[in-house]
Amino acid sequence: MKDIEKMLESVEKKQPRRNVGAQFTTNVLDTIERTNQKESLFMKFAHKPMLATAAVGTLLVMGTGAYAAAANWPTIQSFFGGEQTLSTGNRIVGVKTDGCRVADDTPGAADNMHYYEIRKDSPLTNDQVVAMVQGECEDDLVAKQSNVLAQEILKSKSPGESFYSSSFLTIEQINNGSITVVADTSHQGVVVSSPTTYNVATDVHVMDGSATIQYSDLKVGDTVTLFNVDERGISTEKQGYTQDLSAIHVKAILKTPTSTGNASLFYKDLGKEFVRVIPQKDGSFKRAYEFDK
Amino acid sequence: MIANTKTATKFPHNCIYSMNKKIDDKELIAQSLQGDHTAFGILVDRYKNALYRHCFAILQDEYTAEDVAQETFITAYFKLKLYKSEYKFATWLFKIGTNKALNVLRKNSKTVRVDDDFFAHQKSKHPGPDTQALFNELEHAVTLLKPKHQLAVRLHYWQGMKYADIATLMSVSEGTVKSLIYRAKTQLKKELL
Repeated sequence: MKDIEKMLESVEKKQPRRNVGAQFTTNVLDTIERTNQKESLFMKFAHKPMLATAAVGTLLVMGTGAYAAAANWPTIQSFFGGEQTLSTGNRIVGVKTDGCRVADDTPGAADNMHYYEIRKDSPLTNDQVVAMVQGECEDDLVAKQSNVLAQEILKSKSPGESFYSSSFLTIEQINNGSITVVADTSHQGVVVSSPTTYNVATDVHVMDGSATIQYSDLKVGDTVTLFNVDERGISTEKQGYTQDLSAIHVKAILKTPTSTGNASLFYKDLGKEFVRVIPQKDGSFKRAYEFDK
Repeated sequence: MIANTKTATKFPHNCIYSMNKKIDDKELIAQSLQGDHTAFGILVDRYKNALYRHCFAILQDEYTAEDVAQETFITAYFKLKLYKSEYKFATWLFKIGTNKALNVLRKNSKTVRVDDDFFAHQKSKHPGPDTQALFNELEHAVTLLKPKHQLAVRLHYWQGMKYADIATLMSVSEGTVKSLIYRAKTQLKKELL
């Protein structure tokens, strides 16, 4: 036994020959965000699976309708993948996405085909289904890129400062030292749309996707995410707290592509007009969540 | 006016920060519990390499180790409410990672394949043609042990961990760790000598 002990002790500790990949943290956070979105969006509905009867094989990929994001951003394209009417009168619509995965629970998701069951009396057209999936994909992309920039900013933040970001803002006015934005309420979670003016830091960092651009490159009508630093501390009990914006300054700006999809349709009709379905091995579809009652 | 920009977007990292330059784990955990991904991202950055190396020590495969490390952080995020602050965050995290790595060992236990490349750069402290072959045999024999035995052997002999630390990670007593290692050595002796 002692020989074994000796041998075990003599083996030198093996070290990995590389470190973790550069995208490690981003991948972790992306997965968390996707899971959160699924829970907050999808799981609010009754979750009892229900089998719908339609044959996956009869859906034909037609490849119409393409969309693309702006330069410096990864391209996202969504295509109509075909449709199949169920015996209930509801129809299944397939949407193929390049550069985006709406959900991870679809078998064979390598081809990124996603399926939705549309109510028989729904006014949703197939083009609108494609557009809403595209919109959701674009929102996700902005979220990912914002997350990357947020982590950068956090590294240089001073003690006592609080920090937050706001996405899907449209520039109404811009000049040296200040920016006026209004929220685009067509995106998930954006509920208020009054114009607000912020001071802009002299060393403001401005990016367009993966590229650094100048503050002067921004113009009225651009969609942006603002990363604000708030020097008021964290107490919200102070009188005039919500009105006083002078202590807030914009530390960084992410210019985001103008949406080519229709995310608002996605959020508005989810559960009401459509639900996502998952193809099964026997050719049927299982609802990922139920229609609203 | 945007009345409440802090909650006006979909991203959880919009939460207000109140942070010092050196942010301790507890504060980051508190912020993560409020849904702040950026705070959790800092924790991931802080521990990712150590956790990856720990998983690698158990699994001996870089890609699997990285996958397990990622899964560990994701599980940790969603189970953060269960974390008890009297323990070090790293200990809790490594415990999750150890369990996940153990599950991988269990899955692979019936289909163990020895990585030839491993032998190519595995070095003993006293390398020599004969001893090297013996060490190769030893490593192969370790991969054939029961998953818990493998885990205990790898952590103790090749990671230099104390029985008590291994016991914490495996959620067993120190005596159990000793027993696992004893049984592992008995099995190795049967295989090799």
